[in-house]
Amino acid sequence: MEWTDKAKQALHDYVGKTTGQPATSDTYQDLFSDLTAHVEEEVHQSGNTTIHENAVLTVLGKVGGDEFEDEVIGSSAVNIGQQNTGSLEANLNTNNILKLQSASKIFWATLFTIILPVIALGVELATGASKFGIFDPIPTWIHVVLIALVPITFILYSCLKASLVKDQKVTDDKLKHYKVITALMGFIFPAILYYTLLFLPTTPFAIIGCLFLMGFLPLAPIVCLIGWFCALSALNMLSRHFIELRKVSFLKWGMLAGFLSLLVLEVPSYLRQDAVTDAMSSDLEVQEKGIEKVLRYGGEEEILSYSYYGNPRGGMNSRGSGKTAAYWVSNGFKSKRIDPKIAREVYYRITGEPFNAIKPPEAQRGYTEFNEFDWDHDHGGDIVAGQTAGLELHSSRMDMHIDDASKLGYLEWIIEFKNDNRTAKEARMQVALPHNAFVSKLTLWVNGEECPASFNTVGKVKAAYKKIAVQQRRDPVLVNVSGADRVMLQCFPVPSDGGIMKMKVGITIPLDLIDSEASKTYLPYIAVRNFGISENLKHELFAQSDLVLSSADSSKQKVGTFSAIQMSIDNQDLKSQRIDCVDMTPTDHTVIWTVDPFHAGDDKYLERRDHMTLPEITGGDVANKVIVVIDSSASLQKWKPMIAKSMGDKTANVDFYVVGGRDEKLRKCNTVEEFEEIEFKGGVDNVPALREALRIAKTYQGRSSSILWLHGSQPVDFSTVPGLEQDLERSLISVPVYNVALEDGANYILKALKNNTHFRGGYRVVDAGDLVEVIGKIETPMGESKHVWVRGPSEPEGGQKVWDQIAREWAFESTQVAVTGRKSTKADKGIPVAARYQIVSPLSGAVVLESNAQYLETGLEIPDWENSAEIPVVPEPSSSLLVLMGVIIVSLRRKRGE
Amino acid sequence: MYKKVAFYSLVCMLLVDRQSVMAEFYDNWTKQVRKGIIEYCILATLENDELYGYALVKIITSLPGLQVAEGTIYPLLSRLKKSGLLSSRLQESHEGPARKYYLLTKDGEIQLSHMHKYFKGMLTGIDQIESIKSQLNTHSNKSSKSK
Repeated sequence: MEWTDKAKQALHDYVGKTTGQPATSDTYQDLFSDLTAHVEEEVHQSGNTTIHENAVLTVLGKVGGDEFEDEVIGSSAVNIGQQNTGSLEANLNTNNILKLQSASKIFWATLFTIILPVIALGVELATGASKFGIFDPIPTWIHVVLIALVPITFILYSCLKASLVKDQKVTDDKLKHYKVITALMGFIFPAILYYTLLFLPTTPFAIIGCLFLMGFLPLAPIVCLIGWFCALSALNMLSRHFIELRKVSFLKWGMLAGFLSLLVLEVPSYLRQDAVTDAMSSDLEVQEKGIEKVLRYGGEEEILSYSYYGNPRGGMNSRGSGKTAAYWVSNGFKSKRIDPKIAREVYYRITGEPFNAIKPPEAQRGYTEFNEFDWDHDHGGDIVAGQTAGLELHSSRMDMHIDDASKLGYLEWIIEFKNDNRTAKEARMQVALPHNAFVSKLTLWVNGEECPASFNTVGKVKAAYKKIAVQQRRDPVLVNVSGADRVMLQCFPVPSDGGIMKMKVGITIPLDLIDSEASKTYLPYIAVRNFGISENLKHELFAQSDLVLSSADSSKQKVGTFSAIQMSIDNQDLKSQRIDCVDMTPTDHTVIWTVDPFHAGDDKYLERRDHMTLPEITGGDVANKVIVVIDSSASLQKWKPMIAKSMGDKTANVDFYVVGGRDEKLRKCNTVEEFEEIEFKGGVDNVPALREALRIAKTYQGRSSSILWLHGSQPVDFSTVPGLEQDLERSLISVPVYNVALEDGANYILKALKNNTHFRGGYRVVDAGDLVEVIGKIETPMGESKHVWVRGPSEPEGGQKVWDQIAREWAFESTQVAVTGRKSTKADKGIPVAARYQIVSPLSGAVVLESNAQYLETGLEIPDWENSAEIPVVPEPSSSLLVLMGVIIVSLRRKRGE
Repeated sequence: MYKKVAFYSLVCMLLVDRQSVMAEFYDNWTKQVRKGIIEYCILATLENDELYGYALVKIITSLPGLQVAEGTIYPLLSRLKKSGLLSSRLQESHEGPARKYYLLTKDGEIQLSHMHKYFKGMLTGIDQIESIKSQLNTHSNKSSKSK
């Protein structure tokens, strides 16, 4: 038989350790020769001729230890110490192994390494106690698995130990289990050590807590660590006793795997924390680097938490996404407050979305009642800000009348808010109106009674609202313009504990003329809000007209020359819901008139004449030059295919530019290939790019040019808007900017330029066809239909009498003209007009207060119902109305019955 | 609540610990008994025959009720050899590796015959425990009646 050197050495090691004597001694020689013969017999029987180390260890494993070792070589105990060749192993015997299974050891080991970790994990999962108090120890399910492995490993280890001690022999199965368990023991060690170090600062408090039978849970890691070392000692003892367990431990490999796993799990968190810390810096250079890091490593959730709460460590009242271990390591017990404005700006620049488009991070479990007292920092303010949990749109009903002759629609939107919180809340929303539409009525139900609004200057109505809503906390509702074709509505208080607040907003909508017979309109929709909308909520629409109406998914009714449509619209479909109107019997309505109910003088007959103005052609080209500026924020990524599709139909007069990258510069891309290469990422300040586009537009000598701005939200005030405002107002060459909001959300640019007539309200674009149509309209100088208004003391000759909505339209157009005037005196003239005609314009707003005393207190006129806009009864009272109503009621009942 | 749990846990722990002490006593006792018996069994196995170590070990470990590990026997062989009760010789084998044969020495044979007698006497004595006990009981009953 041939022995390898390692095999020989293994046998020498064994005999040396077992006898505790030098190799020259008789005892050693006897045992060595006996075992050599034994190993050779075994190997020979297995058919091998060469003896390797493994074979020796396997055979020796089967041979087992010497039960009477201490007595047989007892006399050599002194020698062991003298020769310093022995170790604790010499004292090892069955008794030592049996001691591993003493009841007290089992009890404490089970308590500290199995029961306590399980309880700690369960309590943390159920309550998130550490998550909000110190840091989140289980931010992901992988962390849960990692921590759960600790008690599982100790259970497996305990079973194996008990089995080995009981049977006193190592079977092949047990050997396999031993390998797995040593690997697991190694694997969990880095995790136990890591959590021990993390919880170490809390240990003194936990120990004090234990005196009062509290505070056991933070001690779980350190107690587990002690248990781990005890288990390691026991494993060593077992491996000394059972020779086959030697050199088969996977402890080190398990440790390596555990360490690597921990690195993979935790390092990203530390990188994110570093990125977030830098991104939240007030030093712009550091902040920019931080944003780059966040884009690389993530951290959006943490920044969202800062955006909502400013400080994720605000004690019991704080709500946050959970502080990471990295946060704990870098901040400890220190509380570092971040200005939410910085966080909101950074959040937008990173994600391209306003922070309030995302739900607030999870509330602290167990402290929901405390959270009720969270202060709404934007209460009574000008921005919608973050969503308020528990506040929702309870119902929405729209009644609309469309008039053929005046090509005007009037829509009454009845809205109910519901508040399930224990304190009253303010509901705020921005409503995107159809192009050139305006609010012409506002009412609020106070104590079950509908109360009209007072219309006055924006400053006065806002001051009244703040005084009544914020200071006195009574019932007002406020509407004012927040941008082109956009109004802000806010009301307070929506009563607590399921209370309802109900209001009605009347909106006058000019139809968008397609040709002499066809026109279309869109509906107003909620662009930004601070309340929730249930997926089940439907906007119930009923529209009637003397035109033939049609819309997708609507049920139609028709009586005589009148038609009506009725539909239930999902909130996300409201923006794209289009109503088509067709005049089946076209008549000339170029001259219409009404008796102006708001006009105090004798010339109360107001006549509107439609007049086409041809464009001023100054050069050889008749077409406008159109510069399409595309916001490349991440939120517009989904619109990329639509824009690319529309690029296929572009003419030479149209140039596409993209606000590209973090440098916010304008990049020309006139081919689809160039466009598709551009990455839509983060949130970009569009103002520098718009200014650059204006500069380019003004270089087209002798040609009119326009800018079409396709954008998402611009929720951050980058303080660059005044420059753009100046570029629009102060120029020898006028370049209008048409804005089209593809994605909704707060928009500081629209708000800042709401009074700038060069910055025009957008068209609504929902598909590539719409975009091509809009570009075509801007590009081709078809001329504009303008209204010529004439007043007189008597009925005009000819023309058709129509409803008084045209008087409001006149007031709105007058206000627009007044706004255009750069002199304040001209603008001032528009204010009384807007207020008298009860419209919300850039100069005027509307507010409903609770009582007449409040109107007097705030210097507002007491409103009355006189001349308030109403949905007309159609047709004029006759049997046809009853027939129509009957048909509608029957059809509704049938629908409900189905 | 916490105090009750701690108290009952402590009681359970003490009860279980007591059982463990009993188990330890039994293990120590069997160890002492088995040690002498294993040596006796080794000598008895070699009484009329010489055997090589591997075969001897397999025979001893297969004895029912003895429950001894192979690793325990080789040191005992060494000790018995050192005491002069056994001798060994190395012999080449045609079937496999060289084999170390053990056989009883003269002293070993004498010691074995003594051990036979002692072991038999001890077993006989143990068997007589009950009968001696009953005799003693009868005697003590009679003397208490006479008093």
